[in-house]
Amino acid sequence: MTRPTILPTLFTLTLVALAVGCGPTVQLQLPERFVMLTDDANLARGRYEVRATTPDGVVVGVQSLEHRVDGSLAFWTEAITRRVRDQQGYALVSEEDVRSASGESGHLMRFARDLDGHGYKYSIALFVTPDRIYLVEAGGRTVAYDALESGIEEAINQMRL
Amino acid sequence: MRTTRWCVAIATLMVLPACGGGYQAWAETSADSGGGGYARSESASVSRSTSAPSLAFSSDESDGEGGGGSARYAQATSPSEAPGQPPSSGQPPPPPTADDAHHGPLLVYTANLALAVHQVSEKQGMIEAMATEAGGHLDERTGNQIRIRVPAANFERVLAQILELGDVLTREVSVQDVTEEFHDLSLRIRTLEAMYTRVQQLLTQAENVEQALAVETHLQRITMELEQMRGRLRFLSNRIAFSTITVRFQERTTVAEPTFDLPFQWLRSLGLQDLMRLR
Repeated sequence: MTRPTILPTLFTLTLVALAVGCGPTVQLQLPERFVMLTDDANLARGRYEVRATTPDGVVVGVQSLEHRVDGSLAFWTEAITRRVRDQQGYALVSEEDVRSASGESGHLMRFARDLDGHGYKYSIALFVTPDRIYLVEAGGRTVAYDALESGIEEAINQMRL
Repeated sequence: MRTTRWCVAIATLMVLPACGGGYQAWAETSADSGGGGYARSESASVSRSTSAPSLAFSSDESDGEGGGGSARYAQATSPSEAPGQPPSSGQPPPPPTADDAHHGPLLVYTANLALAVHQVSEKQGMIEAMATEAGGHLDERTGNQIRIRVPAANFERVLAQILELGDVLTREVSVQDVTEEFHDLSLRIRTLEAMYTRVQQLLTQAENVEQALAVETHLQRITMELEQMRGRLRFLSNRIAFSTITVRFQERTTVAEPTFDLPFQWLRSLGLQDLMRLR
């Protein structure tokens, strides 16, 4: 293979690698009031795949975590519930099974709590695959969150992993 | 000598009900000075009154027995208003009478709930409205706690409504059977009232100031005892007619108790605090 042939091939492979490895692997269509935060600081140096906010402080964050142990959806649901409800004092308002647009089964937990005299809502949608754990967190003041809750949950149902 | 006989006569009257407590000590002293067979036979007939130390004058409502005796209570106090049936809005149930004690157990229901912290003020408002709607009332409301009183017949229904309001952390329901105490109090009050009448008659027969003063002193003691018993009976009647539900809004603490943490860092960073911290 001559040098002029190798260079374009390497360039193409690099682009493909960048596209696959560096961009978000999760597709989430949030309501219009959200703006995506794409800077490194707000993505917490790679902790979040997606992070978005509204002007009145409703924030959504998606994490894609390496699934290092063989935990089931039920295992992680209970682990999250124990952490958030039992240790952090959130009220578990309701929960239900959900499914992503790409077919993964998941579980949605709706929490709530009061902070500094204001009511807050905090939802976690969890999807578990053999390789990865997908975590969608959404929260904000109840007044602001209620107006967007159905849009956020619709986005979770339409999410492709 | 005549005054001494007067005192003995009054003391004999006091022995009759054998009411217990301070009264009993007084009666024993009198009996020593010749109370007579009549006093002893009366004591025997009401001896049951003094044999209920476990319930007598106990105001600790948490001593109740657990379990569900609600149906029994509904039968005893208000046959037409069994739990689960529509409440008689705004119509507080009549307080139980001594006759109720003959028909079945008289039970005091108490519930203590703890809900996870969430929209405390709104939830307190809803609980207060539930109490009013069920014919009850607000008893106390503080920053993170509310106590309501509801008619006993509506206790279970209101409790179920409150449990649906949020995330229940703890739930304690206790039932205290006060039938015996209620019956004893009623009996002792009737006996004391009869004795009051008899001592009053003695007052009219007093022959000098000294005798009159002695009788007056005894009348005062009877009156005081009667008022205490009537007060306790009113308290019990109220507790039987209206159940107490206390709801505490609390946050789980992670400081006092050792907690188990799974070895996954991402679990520890869950929560609004991390999510909403933007840069």
